[in-house]
Amino acid sequence: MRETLQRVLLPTATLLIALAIWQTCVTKGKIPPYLLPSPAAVGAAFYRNGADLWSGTLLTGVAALAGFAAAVVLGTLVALLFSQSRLIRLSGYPYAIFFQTVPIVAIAPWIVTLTGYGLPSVIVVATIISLFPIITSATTGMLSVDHSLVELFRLHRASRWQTLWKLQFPTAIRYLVTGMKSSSGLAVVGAIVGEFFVGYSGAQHGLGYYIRSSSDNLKTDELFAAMICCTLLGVVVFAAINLLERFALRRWTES
Amino acid sequence: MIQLSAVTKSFAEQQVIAATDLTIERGEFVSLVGPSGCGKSTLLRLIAGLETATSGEVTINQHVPANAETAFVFQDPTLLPWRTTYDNIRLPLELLGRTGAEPLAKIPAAIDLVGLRHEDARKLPRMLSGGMRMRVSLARALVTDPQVLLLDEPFAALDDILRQQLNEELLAIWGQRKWTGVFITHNVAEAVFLSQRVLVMSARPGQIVADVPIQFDLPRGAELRASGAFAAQCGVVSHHLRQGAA
Repeated sequence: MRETLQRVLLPTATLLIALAIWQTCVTKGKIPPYLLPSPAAVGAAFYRNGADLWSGTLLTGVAALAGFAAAVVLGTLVALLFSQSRLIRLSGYPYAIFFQTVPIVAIAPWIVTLTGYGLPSVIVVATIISLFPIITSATTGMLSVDHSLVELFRLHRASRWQTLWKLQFPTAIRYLVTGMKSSSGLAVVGAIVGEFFVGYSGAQHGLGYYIRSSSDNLKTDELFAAMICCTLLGVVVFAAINLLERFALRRWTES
Repeated sequence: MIQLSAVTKSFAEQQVIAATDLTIERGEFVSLVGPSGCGKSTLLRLIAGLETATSGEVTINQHVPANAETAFVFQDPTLLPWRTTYDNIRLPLELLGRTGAEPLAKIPAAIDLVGLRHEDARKLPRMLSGGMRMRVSLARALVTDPQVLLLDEPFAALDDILRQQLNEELLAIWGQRKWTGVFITHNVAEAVFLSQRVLVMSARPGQIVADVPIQFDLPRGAELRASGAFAAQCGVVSHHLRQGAA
């Protein structure tokens, strides 16, 4: 109990002290609010734009999750293919690395041109940036099968399909979850970058749009509020995957 | 009947098994002892059809090993960690496509046979002790009613008392089912206790240098282990083992 209390109280105290120092520096040091807004100003921006920020966070969250889900499905399918033959793996793997090394900011404008100014573009950007960790982790997982178990399957004349579904895929789950943890954060980044360029026509806007418009207008307090929403969104997605691992996938991820 | 005629096996120019002839009769229990790295496991894997001979021929009842009803017990329990005891034992039946009511009825029977309790059937491997996992592994091997059971040092990682207990149980199961058994170990007492014949292999390239018949009656138990005749028999096998290793 005391341990838990310390774990909650100490970081909270750090936060409060940091906020107090920040507030004092800004007010006493007369820092212009467009350079660094005070915590109170950021709080006020939250209060003013609460509804917009909430709907923006939801929209970005939906885009990130959709992109992430697409990356998990697509990445797992690619890994299934890679796990089946060394030749396929050698032929395809360099291009999987391409997805990781290509700067997303550089290709996002082209994707927007290709798929239009809307949610689909944002999802595609989020998918591309979060795909690579899924491919590598799932491929590694499917190839990390215990050699004796492979022989056990061979001994009982298992088909390639049986080996894949009853052995390789379940073995890969724990590796896949590790990949999903890095990938989920990237999907949130991808959604925000996508929104930078897309903007969304119409009434609804995502966090990426708010970041761009508030920084263009030097409304730094609103920019900070949007930044905090982005961070919280990332934390929520990461926590959701941890819960999934701990409860739904426990049988596959614990050894 | 398992038959090896002039079998050799090399891995990348290195000969692991020198020309070997061997016949194991149906229903016989044979142990294979030898120094580490002498090719005992390779010999067992040749019989299992997991390796192919470089030259010579391996047959089980006149057929190639791949078509025989063979079960293999590995050194480690090699269970699927996400499957319960019951589902692990069910795996070979699933892979062979035998999922009717009759084959599935063999699962509880196998659980009984290896001395597991029925409440263990729902447990995952990580909830079981090392000895219990080995029992699950054994049940999985027996559930298909194999003609040939190949065991590659299955009890090497267990403590001595547990090993003795499992030896007695394994022998009792063999008494009921009468599969052909080939058991690898580097423990001479274990080999003598279990077998009707102990084959001694030399150092690499491995070759069978002695074939020692063991004629104790069943059931075998603690009294046999404590007897002078048992010690003498172990002495004979150890003597061959030392000569072969030299």
